[in-house]
Amino acid sequence: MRVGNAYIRAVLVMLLGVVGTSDATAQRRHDFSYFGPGDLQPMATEKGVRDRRVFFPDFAFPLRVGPHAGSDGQPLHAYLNSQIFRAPGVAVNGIENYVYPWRDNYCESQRGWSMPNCPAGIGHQGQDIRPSSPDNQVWDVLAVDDGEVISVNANTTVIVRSSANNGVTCRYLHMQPVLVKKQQKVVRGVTVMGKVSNFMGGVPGTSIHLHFDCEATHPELRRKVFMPVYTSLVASYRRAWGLPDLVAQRILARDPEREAPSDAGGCATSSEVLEATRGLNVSSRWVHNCSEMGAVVDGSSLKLVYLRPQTTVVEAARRNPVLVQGNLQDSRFRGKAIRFNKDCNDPAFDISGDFSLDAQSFVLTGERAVLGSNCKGIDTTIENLVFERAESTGGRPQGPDGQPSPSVVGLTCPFGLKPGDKPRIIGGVEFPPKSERSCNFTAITLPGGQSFESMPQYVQQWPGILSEVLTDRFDDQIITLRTAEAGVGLWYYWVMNRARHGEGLEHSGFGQKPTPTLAQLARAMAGAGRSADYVQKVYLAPYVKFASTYFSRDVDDDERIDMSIPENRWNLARTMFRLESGREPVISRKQFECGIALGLDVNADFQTAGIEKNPQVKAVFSKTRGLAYYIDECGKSGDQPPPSTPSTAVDGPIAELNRKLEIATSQISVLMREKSALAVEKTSLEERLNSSLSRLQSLEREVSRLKSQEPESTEAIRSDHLLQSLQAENKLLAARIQSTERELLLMTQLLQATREICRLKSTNCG
Amino acid sequence: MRSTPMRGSPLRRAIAGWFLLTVVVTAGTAEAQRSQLPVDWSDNNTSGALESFERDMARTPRPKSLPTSRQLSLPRWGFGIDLVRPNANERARSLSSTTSTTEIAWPSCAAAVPKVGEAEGDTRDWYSDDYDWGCISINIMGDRNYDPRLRTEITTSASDCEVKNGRSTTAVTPSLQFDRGSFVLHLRLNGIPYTINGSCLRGAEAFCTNRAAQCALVERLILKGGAPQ
Repeated sequence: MRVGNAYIRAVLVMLLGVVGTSDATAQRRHDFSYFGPGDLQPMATEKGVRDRRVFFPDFAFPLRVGPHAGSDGQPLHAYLNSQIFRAPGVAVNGIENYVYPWRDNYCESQRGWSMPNCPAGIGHQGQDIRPSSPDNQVWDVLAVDDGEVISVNANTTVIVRSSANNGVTCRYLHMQPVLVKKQQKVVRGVTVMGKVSNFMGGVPGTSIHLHFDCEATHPELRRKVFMPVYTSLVASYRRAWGLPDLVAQRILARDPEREAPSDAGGCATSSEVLEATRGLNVSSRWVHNCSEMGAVVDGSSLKLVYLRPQTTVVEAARRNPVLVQGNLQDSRFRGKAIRFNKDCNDPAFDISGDFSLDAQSFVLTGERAVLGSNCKGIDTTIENLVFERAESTGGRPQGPDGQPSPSVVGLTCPFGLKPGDKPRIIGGVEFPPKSERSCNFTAITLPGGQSFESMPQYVQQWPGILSEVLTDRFDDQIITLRTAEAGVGLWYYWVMNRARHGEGLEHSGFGQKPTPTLAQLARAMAGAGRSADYVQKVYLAPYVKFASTYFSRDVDDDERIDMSIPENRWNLARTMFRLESGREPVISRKQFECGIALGLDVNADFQTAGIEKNPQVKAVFSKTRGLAYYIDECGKSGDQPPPSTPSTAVDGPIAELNRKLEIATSQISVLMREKSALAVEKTSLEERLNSSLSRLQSLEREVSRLKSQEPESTEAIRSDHLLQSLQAENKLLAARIQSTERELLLMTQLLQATREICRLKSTNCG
Repeated sequence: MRSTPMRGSPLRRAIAGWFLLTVVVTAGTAEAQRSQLPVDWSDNNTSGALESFERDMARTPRPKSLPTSRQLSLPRWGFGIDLVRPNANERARSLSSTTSTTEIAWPSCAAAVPKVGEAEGDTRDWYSDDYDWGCISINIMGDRNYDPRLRTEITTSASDCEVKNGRSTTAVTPSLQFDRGSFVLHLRLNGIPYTINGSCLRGAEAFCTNRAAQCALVERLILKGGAPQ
């Protein structure tokens, strides 16, 4: 009955595309959503692979997609779904197929390929991808990874081997024309491999789509197979659309907004909490094979127990509610798991894996015996127990009663780069600088190579922390945050609790009412291993210089700065941020003050939990609110306003205008500096161009002379080649100058516009 | 004799320096993300094939044979000139001891001699060769590299076509209607994963749906290069 219902639901969903209004269709077409991995089209008879691991986290999406990807700047979509199972009456290339949500079709039935990773042992090898519209030979197929084309055949199958030299190869099928050749090097997200078409068997023989699959060594099967690519495609598509990819520890987290609930059936969960575990104090909740599980932590001991078991295992869970138990050492878990088998007394087997309470998901792996009818082992198999966080909390711990901790979904650092963008290098310096792109304004770093799980607890548990990091020039890792406020808060927390000072750097933090000196902060920032000369040159001297600007007076290096005074901490923050970014800080006063509010709230929760005293403890965020609050609500009337300052003391529209003016002033300053840098670069490029032109003329004369003497001489040919080479270089230089001039023009226009705003407000913007 | 005009150009030097740096950095990054599987050259068929191959090479009038360090570090299994009726030399270099006695359901539309396109990595630890017989084309690749982050230790011998005592055996379900046009075989030969990708055009469709015929290809593999390092 369930299968029948699922089938009917599937058909109804598909038919919506036929009978719905055009507005409704447009809405569905443009609102990206997807079913989870392994959630195959219900009409498919085989099961998929519900593996949330992202085996290829760095891949680009194999079609040109994104909000402005079209040649006309319009959005380009892609639609992952079945080419076999369609609603009745829908044509193979019917527009009704070009809708969200996506469907995984790895392991889909009606395919006879040997697929050891599929539940049935056979099935579809990869993922079928429809382009933005059913137009043949129009849409670009892009390389997903840097690599080399190792095969192109008459059936337009292209195989690319990744340049990471890790044995990964990917296939692109059904393209026409193919635009790459064997042994050609391809670049991730750049090289156009061909156009999406319908070639199969050397003729137009399938729907217009790209078949994409990848081979690699499977970690459990221990052999090379076609791997699940759906999660990697979801992550790369999210990035292409400017969404956080939700990949943490190489696992795709669940997005409650865009990931559709499973309609595959077989995932019915008991409506009542298991009697044996009712009222148990669980640290976090997880979903395992459709059952709701609880993690019970007691010292280093960890148990994973059934709370609401899947209906198919209710009886077994009543008999044995503890699925996994063992011990944690650091973040490594080792213990036993049970395999429900009533006749053999639910045998246990060894299991291990990396576990963290604030992970979005984790996998425990072990080898268990396959038992025969007499309960004796006849074989062994690798068992993977996958646990996904029951609520999407962005990887953060839960609050009391399982309520989510500060929500982070969908937030990204406002000064970060858009996906695919790269920082500009001007005068050897990156713009925007890493400290801004990471929203970690003093670039607090941790040693390179340190895993996220082994970072200090205050970092791991900080709201809005990302497990992906930038690295600085020493290969240390710069902690990256999702919001500016989270970054400011982290800085303030560091000053209060972590900054090392004292004669032998024996003190941690300057306390809840910090009064540090510039000299102390310089030493704390440089770290214990640096010489006094280094501290003076790299930190203290610039601090003194910048402080004189922001405090509008000289600040001695041993003057105590009372950071409980809002104006002092704002000036001190800008002093420190200025040094890291190499330019006027971009952060606004509102962002700063709301960041301080966040830092104080998190500090209160961390103090309650004793994070700094006990590295094992997990904070409960009772005072800290969702990150969005510190962006949207903080400072609004009647709800914890930022501390008043002379410039923001006036309420109402004038205060708002003052804040905007402050931001505009800061931006003007930044733009002026960039304009100067660009002008310098332009001058340098012009000098190089002139030099090249002069050289070119000289060579042209030389070539003419040689040709008149000995037309086919070796020297003349060599000079000819050099001439062509120089001409190409000159073209490149001219293009760069044009590009620089365009940027200068845009900046000048922006500057003028901003000045006009200032003029309208009758204010001097500086 | 005039000197090369651009030899001293700062721009050229800068570009060359940048290129060198890129190569070095890229190589360093790649190195960190790969591991290599050891090659087992010891089984009888492979050692026999290797001896025959080396004899053939010694007989072939070539300017100078490649030093071992510049040869592939894994067996380059591939196909001979006549896949249906291998000659004596090819049979001696075969992976299988039964090459000459087994039949293969080879499509009649296939050209007598394939066009061959070879490719191999600069690191000499992988190769990818294309064989094009017109209506049917086959790629065979072997690769010693894998991603160490997968924490894998390949201990099992898992192949779509089991090769035992030089003979392939097949235990795979017949292909279904949507498979037409292509086939894939994953093999483990000499401890290394090899993949055979086939494409069948008009006239050769039956081959792409005939698993037994595909597995019989394994018996036609002959040693075309590689040497123990």
